[in-house]
Amino acid sequence: MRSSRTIYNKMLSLMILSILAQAANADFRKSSLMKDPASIEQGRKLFVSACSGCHGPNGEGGRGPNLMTARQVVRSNDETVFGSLKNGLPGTDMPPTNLPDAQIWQLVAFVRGLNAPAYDVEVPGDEAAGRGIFLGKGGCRNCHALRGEGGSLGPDLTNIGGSRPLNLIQEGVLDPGKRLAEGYQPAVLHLKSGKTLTGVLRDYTNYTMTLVDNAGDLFLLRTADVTDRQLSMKSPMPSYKDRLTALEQRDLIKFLSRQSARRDE
Amino acid sequence: MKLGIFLLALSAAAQVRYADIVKGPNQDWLTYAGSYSGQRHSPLAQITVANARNLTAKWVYHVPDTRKLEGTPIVYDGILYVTHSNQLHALDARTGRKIWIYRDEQAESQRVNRGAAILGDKVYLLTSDCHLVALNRKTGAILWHKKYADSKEGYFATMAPLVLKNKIVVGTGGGDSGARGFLMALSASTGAEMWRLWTIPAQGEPGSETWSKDITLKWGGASTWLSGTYDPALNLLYWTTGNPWPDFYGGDREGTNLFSDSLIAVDLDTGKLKWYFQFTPHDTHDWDAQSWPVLLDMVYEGKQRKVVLHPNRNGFLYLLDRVTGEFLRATPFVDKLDWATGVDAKGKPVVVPGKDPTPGGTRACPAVRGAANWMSPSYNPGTGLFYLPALEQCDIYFSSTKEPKPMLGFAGTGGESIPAEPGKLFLRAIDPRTGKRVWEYPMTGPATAWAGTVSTSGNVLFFGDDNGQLVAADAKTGKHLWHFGTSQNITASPITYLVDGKQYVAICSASDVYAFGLFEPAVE
Repeated sequence: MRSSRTIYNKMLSLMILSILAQAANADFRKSSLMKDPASIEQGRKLFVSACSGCHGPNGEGGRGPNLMTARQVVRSNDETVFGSLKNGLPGTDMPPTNLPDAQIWQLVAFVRGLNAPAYDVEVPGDEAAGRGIFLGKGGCRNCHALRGEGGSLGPDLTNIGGSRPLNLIQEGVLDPGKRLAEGYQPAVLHLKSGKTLTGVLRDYTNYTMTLVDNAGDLFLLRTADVTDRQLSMKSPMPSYKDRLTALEQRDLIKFLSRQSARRDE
Repeated sequence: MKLGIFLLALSAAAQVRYADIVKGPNQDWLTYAGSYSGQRHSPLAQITVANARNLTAKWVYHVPDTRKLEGTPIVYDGILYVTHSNQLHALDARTGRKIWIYRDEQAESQRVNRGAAILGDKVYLLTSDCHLVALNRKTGAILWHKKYADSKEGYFATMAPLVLKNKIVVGTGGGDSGARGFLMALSASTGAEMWRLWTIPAQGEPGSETWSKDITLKWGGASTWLSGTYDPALNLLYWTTGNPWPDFYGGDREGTNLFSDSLIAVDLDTGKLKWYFQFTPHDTHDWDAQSWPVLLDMVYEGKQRKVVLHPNRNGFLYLLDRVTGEFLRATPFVDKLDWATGVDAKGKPVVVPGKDPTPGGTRACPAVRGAANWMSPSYNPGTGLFYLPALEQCDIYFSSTKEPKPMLGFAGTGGESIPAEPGKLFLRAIDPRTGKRVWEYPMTGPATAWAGTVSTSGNVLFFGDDNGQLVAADAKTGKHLWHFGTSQNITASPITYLVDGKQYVAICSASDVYAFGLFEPAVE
């Protein structure tokens, strides 16, 4: 289906770009660097000495962008990240480096480990034991769903490993108060009708509010019909730093890192 | 607005049933074409010929990162679901506020997407790389993913999946690179494959003799990239197939190239082919058959018939008996049609020699884009008229004899527009009993719109025009009633729905979703 030769040519160009992009994506996923612990560790040491001043000790960002989440980093292939490190980014504060190429590649490995989806990197731990904690002692399923099973007061975790880097999953388990997931602000709403709703706000404007309650029901409300509201900026999720042993934490994080919607491919 | 009305609690028990979809549109819009018949006609009648001029914008929802929304939204229980490439957005249908967004960032490609499907408490999306994704309709939580075709073999998906009973029926794109088309039914509960029907027979099967070389028999295209229609009483699916590959050079595929450029009737339970009708045998103009097969029950030549009406890219409007596939009639719905002088008694085109693409270029009409395409026509049972966006345009068609290599974007060259002969779009109202035009609405513009229509019982017809305007016209006469400029090219079809007792009309433009309703004066 084409409308003209011009469009055909454009489509061909797009197709080539798409193929290149897919190839780059394939390189990204299959990168041996990401799974080479020695390269990653060497890269970490280099990062601490050369990069952490701007990007934070763990790549969480500062003067420079958060390397776990910045789209321009996450969506770049290894070669692009390598080029940015070697040549710097003109027009920004990112300088070029004189490090030898082999060490730049180690830095690439470390950065990739920071922002690659956890599912694509080696993660230590016992997945089965982690599943047991998720379903049992951790009580995770009360608020989070996996493939349709579980609560809806916290984000769906079916694709958490396929979409988030390991560092963010670790942070979510051990320091969940650090950030509140968008659309999951705890709220208690009192309505003109006398009804009280308790749940999380998926959306909130001067005029409308959308709430999911503890039973998983969805309420589309007019803000003017809410007479009183208690909104919290604090994540209701408890930290598992003290609730689980170090081994249990490791296993739970391993289990979460294996959750990919596309894992059956 | 009263509290009791505005507080819309979606109860866990609210579930879309197959029987609800069979009934056709009412307050909701539950499937891509509104109903399985593909008529895109709503019984809603709050907006009328008399009051349509009072329509006003109710909300706009911006979809970031896109310039080409092609989706038809679906609406259920006050929630509007609209898709973009690998994305599904759930919105409050009254306000346009986001409820949740699903994004599949692992998808291997980015394509346009034409819509979602809904059944039970699940809403379904096809990703560009051919995953069927089931989501919780209220929260957007992922229930399952099922890969049904391999993008590494050239397949991709742009269509809205079609819910039928306990099945989700899906097709593929990729025929322009040779990917062999198929239709597949998957379990609506689990995504497990239930049946598959190839649109090009395997070597030795009936129809394989219509391909002259192994390479094109194996990589002949005939994609299934647009959703189909369905007759519950006959339990037959009606699905159109795409062009044979290579698109513009037929020397490596002598023969009629079954079942390309065809309408196929398929038993829903078994996936077996019941009958087929090929519109353009041995196509060399890239005239996929992907425009809607619309199902009507009507009197034809004094006899009540179950028919299927199909405007083809080749410029003819076909009428077939949908029980048997018997050809009844074909009439041109555009004036710029010179590749055939007509059709014979069996519906086969009487081809004009010398219209095939050549290395030096051959002028032929319609254009490669087709006189019709995937944008939706509609049918109003009240007026008895069929409403069809039609393109009057010719192209110069070129061909090359390069050895066909699949999956590399090779099409045997293509069509090129003629600067001195710009195309022109019309909205035409046609009487399906005669095939004759009753009225037409000429559009100014660059002939770049890909906008469809929706018909209503208020006898107001809504359609996108060629200047980015949503237009309301009198369905009986074609008289202009109202328009709204989006300032963006429209590449989608409108829908209508009712929430809290109020009728809305919604359409996607390039990067936004718009909803309109009647002006509500202040009450003292």
